[in-house]
Amino acid sequence: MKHTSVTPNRPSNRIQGWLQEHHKAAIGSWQRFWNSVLSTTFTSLTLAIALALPGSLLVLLNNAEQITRHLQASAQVNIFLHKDIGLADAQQLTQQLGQREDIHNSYLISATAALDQFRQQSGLDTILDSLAINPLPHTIVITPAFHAANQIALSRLTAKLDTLATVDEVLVDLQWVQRLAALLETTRMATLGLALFLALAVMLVIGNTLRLAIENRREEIVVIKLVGGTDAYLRRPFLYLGCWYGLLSSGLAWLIIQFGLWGLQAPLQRLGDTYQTTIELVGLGISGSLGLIISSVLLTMLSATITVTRELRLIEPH
Amino acid sequence: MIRFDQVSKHYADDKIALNRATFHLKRGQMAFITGHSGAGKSTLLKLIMLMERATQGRIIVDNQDLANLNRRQIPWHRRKIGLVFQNHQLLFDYSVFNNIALPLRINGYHERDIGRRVRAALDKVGLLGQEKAMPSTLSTGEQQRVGIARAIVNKPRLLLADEPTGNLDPELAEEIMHLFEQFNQVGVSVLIASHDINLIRHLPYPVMKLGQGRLTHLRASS
Repeated sequence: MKHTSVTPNRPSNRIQGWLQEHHKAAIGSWQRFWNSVLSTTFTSLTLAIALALPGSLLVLLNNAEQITRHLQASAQVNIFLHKDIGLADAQQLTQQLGQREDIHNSYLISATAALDQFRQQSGLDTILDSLAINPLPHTIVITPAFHAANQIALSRLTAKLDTLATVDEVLVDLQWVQRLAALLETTRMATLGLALFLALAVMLVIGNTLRLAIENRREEIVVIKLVGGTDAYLRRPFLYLGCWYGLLSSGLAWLIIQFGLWGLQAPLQRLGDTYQTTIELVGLGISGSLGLIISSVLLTMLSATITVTRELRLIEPH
Repeated sequence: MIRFDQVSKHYADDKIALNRATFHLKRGQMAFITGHSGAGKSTLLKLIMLMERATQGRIIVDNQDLANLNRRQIPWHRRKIGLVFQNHQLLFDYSVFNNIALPLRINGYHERDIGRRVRAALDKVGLLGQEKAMPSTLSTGEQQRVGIARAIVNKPRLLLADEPTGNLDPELAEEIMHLFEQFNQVGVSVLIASHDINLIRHLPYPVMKLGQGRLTHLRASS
C-alpha cells in the first residue's frame, strides 16, 4: 500500500471538505429531523407554546402601551378660578390660554354650567335650590400640547398657571394614568420573568430531546470515536438538529401569536366601539418576528451545545 | 512502530491487567499476541488506541509518546491506526459503502475520492460489488471483511486486530489472516491479538504471550 499524500491537507481542499461536512451534517440532521414526524412535531409544538406564551404577552403589552400612550397624550388639566372672577374675564382667559404654544386646546365650564351638571348628576335639586349663591367657580379645562408623560413640562406649565392672579387652583388628574403605567410596567416585568422560566423550559426540552437522540446513536458515536472522529465532527449533526428545532418551533410560535391576535381583533373592536374609537392591534412586525426566530434558535443552540458537549464526553469506547 | 517500555495497567479494583510489559514492533513488522481471554490482550490494544491510559511505563506509537497526547489530540492519533474488532463493530443501519466510508468522511475527503477509495478497499478484501448491501445481509466472514476494509480504507501505517478470527471457522480464519499478510507485505505494521494458537503456529511471525498481565516472547520470528 502506497502512502500517497492525503488530498485534504491542501488548504483549499480543507475548506471545501469542511463546507462539505457542514452541508452533509445539516442535510443529514434535517432528514433525521423528519424521520419521526410525530415526535418532531410534538416536541416543536411544546417548544412553540413555551415561546408563544411570553411572545404574545409582550405583543399585547406593546398594544396596551400604545393605547395608553394615546390616553396619556390627552391628559387634562383643570384650572379653578377665584370665585370673584366674572364670566367675561373667564372667557377671555380661556381664549388667551388656548393661544399658548404649550396648550393644545382649552374650554370653559362656567359656574352655572357646572352647577347644572352637578344637579343632573347628583339629583340633589332641593338642597341646591336652597343655596343662596352658586358655590362653584368657573373652571377652564386645558389639554397640554406635549405628552402627559413629560412630567417636567407639565409641572412647569402648572406652576406658571398657578401664578396667574385669577387662578385659585390647578389640578392635574394624572393619578389614574400613572397607575395604569405602573400596572403595565409590573405586567411587563412579570412577563419577562415568565419568559425567563419558559426559556429555561425550552432549553430543558431541547436538552432532553438531544440526549435521547445521542443515546439512540450511541453505537455509531463509539465507532466514530474509534476511527478518529473529533468532538466537533460528532457535535455538528446534533447542533444542526437543535437549530432545526429552534427554527420550526419559532415558526409555529409565530403562527400561534398571529392567529391569537387575529382572534382578539373582533372582540377588542366591540370594546373599542363602546368608546367610539378604533382599536388596531399591532402584530409582531418584522423586528418582532426576527427577534422571535433569533432568540428561539439561540436558545436551542445554546442548550444543544451544553447537552451535546456533556453527553458526548460521557460516551467513550471501551 | 510501537514501543512498550515497562508498561503496567492497574484497574481500580486492584486488578493488574498488564504488568511491566516491554516489546517493540518494528515499522513494517507483523506480530501476534496470544493468551487466554482476560489475559490482557485487549487492554494492550486499548492502551495503543488511547481508549485507556497506562498506569506506569512509556508507550511510543509512530515516534509519539502517548503520555504527551491530550484528550483533543486523541482523534488525530486514532486516524493513523486501523482497528479490526472481533465483533467487527459495523453499523447496521448503514450500507457497506457508508460503513467503510466513515473514516474518510471524518477526515473530510471529497465525495468522489471517497467512492474511489472505498471501492479500492472493497476490492482488497474481495467484496467489490457489495457496496450497496446492508451488513445484516452478509455472512459473518463477509462482515469481518467489511470491518477490515474500514480499517484499511484510510491507508493507515499501523493495523491492530483484536481476535479478528474469533467468530470464524478455520478456513475463513485462514483467509482473513492471509489478508493481513497481504497488507503487511505492502508495508503496513500489523499487530494481532488472538488466542487461536493453532492458526498462528504455522505463520512465520513473532509471537508474544500474555499471561496474568505478564508479557513473554514465545518466538522472535522464524
